[in-house]
Amino acid sequence: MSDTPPEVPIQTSRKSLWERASIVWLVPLAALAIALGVAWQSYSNQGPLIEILFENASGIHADETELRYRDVTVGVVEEVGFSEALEKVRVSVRLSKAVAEYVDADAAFWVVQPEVSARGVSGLDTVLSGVYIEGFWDGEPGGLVYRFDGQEQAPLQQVGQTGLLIELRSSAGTALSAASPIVFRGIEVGRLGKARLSEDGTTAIAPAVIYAPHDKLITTATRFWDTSGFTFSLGANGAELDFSSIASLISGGVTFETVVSGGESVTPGTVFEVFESEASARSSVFNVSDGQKLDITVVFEDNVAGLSTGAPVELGGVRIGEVVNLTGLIDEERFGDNRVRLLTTLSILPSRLGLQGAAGVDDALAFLSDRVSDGLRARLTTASILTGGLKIELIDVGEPGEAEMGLAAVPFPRMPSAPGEISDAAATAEGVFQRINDLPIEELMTSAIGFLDNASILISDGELRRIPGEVARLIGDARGLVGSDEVQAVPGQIGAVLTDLQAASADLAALTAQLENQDAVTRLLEAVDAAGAAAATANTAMAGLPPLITRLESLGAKVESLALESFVEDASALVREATVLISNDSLAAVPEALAGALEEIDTAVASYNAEGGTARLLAAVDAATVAAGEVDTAFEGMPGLIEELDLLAAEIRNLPMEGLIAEATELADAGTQLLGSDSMQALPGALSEALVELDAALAEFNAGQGATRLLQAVDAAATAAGDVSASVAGVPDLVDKIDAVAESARDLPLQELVRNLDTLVTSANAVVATEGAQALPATLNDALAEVEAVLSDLRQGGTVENVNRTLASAEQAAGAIAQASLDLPAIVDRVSAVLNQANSTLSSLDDNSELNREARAALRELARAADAIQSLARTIERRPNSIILGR
Amino acid sequence: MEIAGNDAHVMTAREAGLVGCRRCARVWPLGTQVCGRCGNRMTSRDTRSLQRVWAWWLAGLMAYVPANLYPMLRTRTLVSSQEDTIVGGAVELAHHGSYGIALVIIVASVVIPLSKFMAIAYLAISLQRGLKASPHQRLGVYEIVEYIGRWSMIDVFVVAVLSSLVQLSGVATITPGPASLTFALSVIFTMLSAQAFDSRMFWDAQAEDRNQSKEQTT
Ligand SMILES: [Zn+2]
Repeated sequence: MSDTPPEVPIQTSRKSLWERASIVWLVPLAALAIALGVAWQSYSNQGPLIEILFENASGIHADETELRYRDVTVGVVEEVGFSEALEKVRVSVRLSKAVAEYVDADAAFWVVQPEVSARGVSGLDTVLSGVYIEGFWDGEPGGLVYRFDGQEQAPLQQVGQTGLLIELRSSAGTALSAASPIVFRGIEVGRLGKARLSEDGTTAIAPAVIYAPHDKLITTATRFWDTSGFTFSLGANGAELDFSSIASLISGGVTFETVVSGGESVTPGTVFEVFESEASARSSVFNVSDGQKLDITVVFEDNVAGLSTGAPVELGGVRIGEVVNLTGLIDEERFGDNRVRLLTTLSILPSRLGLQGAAGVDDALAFLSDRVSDGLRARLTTASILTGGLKIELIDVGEPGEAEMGLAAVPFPRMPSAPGEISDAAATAEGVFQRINDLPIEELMTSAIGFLDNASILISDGELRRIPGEVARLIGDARGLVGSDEVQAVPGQIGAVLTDLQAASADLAALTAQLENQDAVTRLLEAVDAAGAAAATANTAMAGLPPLITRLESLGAKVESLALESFVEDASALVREATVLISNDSLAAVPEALAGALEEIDTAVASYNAEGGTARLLAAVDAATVAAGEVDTAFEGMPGLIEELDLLAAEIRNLPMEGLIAEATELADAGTQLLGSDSMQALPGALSEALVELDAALAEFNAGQGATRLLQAVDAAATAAGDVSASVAGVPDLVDKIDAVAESARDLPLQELVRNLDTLVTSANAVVATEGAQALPATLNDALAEVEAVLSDLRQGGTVENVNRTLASAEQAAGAIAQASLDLPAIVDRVSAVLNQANSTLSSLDDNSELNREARAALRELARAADAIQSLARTIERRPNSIILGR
Repeated sequence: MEIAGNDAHVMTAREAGLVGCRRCARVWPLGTQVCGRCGNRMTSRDTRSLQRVWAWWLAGLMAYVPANLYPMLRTRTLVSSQEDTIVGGAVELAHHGSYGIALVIIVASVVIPLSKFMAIAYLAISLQRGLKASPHQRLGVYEIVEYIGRWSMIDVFVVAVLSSLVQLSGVATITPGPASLTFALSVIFTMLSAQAFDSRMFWDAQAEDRNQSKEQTT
């Protein structure tokens, strides 16, 4: 039982399609789905296609031109074609689905194009973007309509506007241009549409809209009138120029006014008349609202220009109507001649007559008939003097019962007239000219011409012309008279008379002189008195001399205190001046004058001895004596003055130059002080410190390396120090010698020497006080301090090589210092030598100028030496390291 | 081993008992499921590759239709706005005298995609029907298709550059149209279609040919 089961044929079944399908198949399936979805969506979103018929398709392009509603694109033009028989352009617009149901039969379409008018520019955006179709429909869905007639222009009532739609009818002469504004008190409240002719062709009718809320202004009593252009009227009320605005002047416009209150509100579509002018509009209120008018005729005898239709008819100043017709009338039968008379037809408004109740035509006629019977007449009067316009006035001028209203007249009742009251400006002017004309101007002119002729004759008369010549002759005669000998002789005679008078006065003078000579004694006495006064004057002059002397003394005292040179000069000048004063002519002339005076006195005494007045003479002599004595005392003061001057000169000669010497001493002291200054004195200390440092350095750095150099350096430094101290020791000597020089110089009497000495002292002072000299010790100190610092640096930092180098440098520095120090004593010695020389020279000096010169030369040398020291000191100062570096 | 000639037999990996990794090109013994080097799943022949080819091919063709019907570019200037399809734009360019550019556009956007569609369809059909053709020829066609496919994107590239550069608001604006998207999709789909090919199947046809010829000779 081990049957193997029979082989079962195994068929590999094909895998199902689902299993075999790749997942990538989803991609084309999805693409298909998307494509179908897009297609369905675009189809379902597609709005209806409407057709709009236009006269032309200017600017409309397929697939470009848009349909807009409230400036929102709601469709695009798909096709532009023609309607049947090419009558119109058919524009197919694919409408947006959202607005489709609102586009009902009321919808209006028009093309928006750029438009430039007097009222402004509109549709400017379409210049670039191209035209578009604007649609307008209300917000109530009313079922889609597929065909529309496009409008030529935008409807009056735009989107979103409400208002009253009316119609305006124009009578002849007014133009209703499309899109003209309707203006109310300057505000645009409405707009005119395109006008059309009425059926009978007599008037034009234009639709108009008055926008809310201004539509409330329109009532049955509202009157419209044309404001386009301007009106210039020269009527009964004078000249009138009227236009409302520039825009309406160009493009036209209509305005309105509710003339009478109480009008009723109007329904849309009401027709209003548009009047030519405001005046006619206002007056038209009567035409319509007052119902029937009463027409009567009046025949005026005076046929005067100036009356026109529309001229007012007034009763008691109230306008009750107007002239509606004017014709000429020739009625030979009635009036008996062939004159042309004026037949006017008046239109009277019964309501204006002030009758009670609702006055009709018959009531008005009856009223007027009654008034005519009472004397009411029609009369032409001037309405405007300027224009000569006339009006008709109804006025009671006739006699009651004189005339009756011609009620039977055809076609209208006839009213009797009265002669006019025409105050014509032309007539008045004419009258003025008439009066001017009547003036006797020609006669006046004739008279004037005659007068002028006479005057001319008179002026050109020979007699009149001779008058100037005779006047000239008269003057010539007068001149001859004056120039005649007799007249010329008159001055000579007068001169003779004067000569006689002079002689007489000379005689008188001689007489007077004679009389004067007889008074000699009194004149002598006066002379004596004068001499006495002169003596007294001389006396007082002498008394003025002693103060002069005291002044000279004080002057001498002043001179004493003056500087030597100027003092001596001043003194000599003073002496000269004093000499001059003493030898002065006027002073010398004083005794002579005195002697003269005495001689005069003598002669006077001798001459007038016997004539009395001895006592006066004695007194005069006494006075003279006193004067002489005072003059003497004055002269006695003079030698005293001279002595004083001598003394003064002696003092000047013996003047010691103590001040100068003191100055020199001071300078010398300054030099001493300098040399003994702290820096100088600190120099050895610093040096010793440097040595201590060196010692310390030596102690730290063994002598095994560069000991000999160190020793050398120390030696060099020691010699430098010795030299310095030696040089310092030499300085007091120098001072001593300068002292000696000063002592010698003190004895010198000569001014020149004093000046030289002064120069010397100044030079010495310059040397001592120079910065270099003063800085020298300090510089040396600094150098030593540097050495010290270097040494300490080396001690702290250093290697053997450094030490060696430092020692070498120190040696060099010390050598340099020694050299410098060696130089210094040499200079000091040299100065000393110079001073010695100067001393010896000065001590052997006397008044001799040659010696002075020698002394000056010596001093110059001394100054040069001082300069040398100075320059050395400056060099050291400028480059302190030169001491260390030896350069 | 035989040198690959026009009609000469080429030894395939399958015949050698091997399977090649399509990602890293390593060969493994036949039957290896996963590449030991890169982890790629391996089959000796991807039998469903032709399905993928056809699926991508169909998707690409579907995308190519709106790519030619819808506008590629929307040019809006101050004065006008214009929409151009691919062919319409090329024709307009030719009208303006730019024949060279028009030619480039026609070649890149029309000739190459269409020839790609045809080439892929030919390859797929020839494999399915077992048409006699040189595997070398087929491979050449395949490689050309795969190489040239990316160049069709030049149109999309131009549109992208233009629409990003020309954005002078108000004055001139260029925006890509819907066709640019569908055209790009079409190019991508065809490239995927070409890639979906298992090019090894070309050589199987060679093997079948030889087997048939062997049977005939024996
Ligand atoms: Zn791999």
